[in-house]
Amino acid sequence: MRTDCPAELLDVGSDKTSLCLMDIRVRDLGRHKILEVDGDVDLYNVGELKQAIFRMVEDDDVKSLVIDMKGILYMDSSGVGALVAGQKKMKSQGGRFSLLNINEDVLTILKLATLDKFFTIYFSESELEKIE
Amino acid sequence: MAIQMIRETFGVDIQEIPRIKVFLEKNLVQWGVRENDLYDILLACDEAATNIVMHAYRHADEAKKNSDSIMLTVKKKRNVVEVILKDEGESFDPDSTPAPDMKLNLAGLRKGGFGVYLMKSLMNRIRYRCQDGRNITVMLKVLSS
Repeated sequence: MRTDCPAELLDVGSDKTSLCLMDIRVRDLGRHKILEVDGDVDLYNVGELKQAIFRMVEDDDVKSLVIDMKGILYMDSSGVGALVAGQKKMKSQGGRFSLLNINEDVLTILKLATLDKFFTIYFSESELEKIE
Repeated sequence: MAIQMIRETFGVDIQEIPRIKVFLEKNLVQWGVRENDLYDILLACDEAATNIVMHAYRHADEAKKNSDSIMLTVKKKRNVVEVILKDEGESFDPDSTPAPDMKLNLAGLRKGGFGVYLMKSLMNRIRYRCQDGRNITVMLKVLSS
């Protein structure tokens, strides 16, 4: 799914349009369902991320949901809130929720919130593949 | 050394959050603000603007939201960047917001507070005042690079 940026958001003279686009893809890695997210996450588009996470969380076949954050270079507190909500919901259903390939800046935000210990974080797919 | 300054007004709407970031990033990069400093300022400004939209205007009707605006002024002198946001919503003093308690937040016993905490953590100084019915939030960042 793709959130196209309204034209009026692009008329500020910058070609850095990625600030308002989010691209979410789903793939499988063994028993893990991977949600690959590309783009910045802020209040404007966090609904897209929440929707994608909760669609997976509510799928009974998904036992392990992994958010691949390689493409997220920027995330504000609303994005952090979406991840927290996803993890709480997934865990309440007995599933596994983890983060993968997290950018250093975003990890700093999680550390500031002392959430780096709350989430299970993997830094490579090979690390994740070892998890049964 | 002369002060560099930009000013722009934005609507009171969540759709304006990405516009604010694009505008700010474009200008800060032109001023030579880089890497971590750039990220910190963008995120602090995003949180401040989000607070205005979500809290200062939470009781406002559509007419007020449509007629009001968020005025963003950014100044740079030497290694200091000053970000000023002005709005005419309900007063909202970041200092009145207690620091988040993640245990309580995660247990669902408390909501919010994280945005203000981020602003305070990422910037060197936050000041707020309400003057002539306007909220004025000033954030200072001393650049490291």
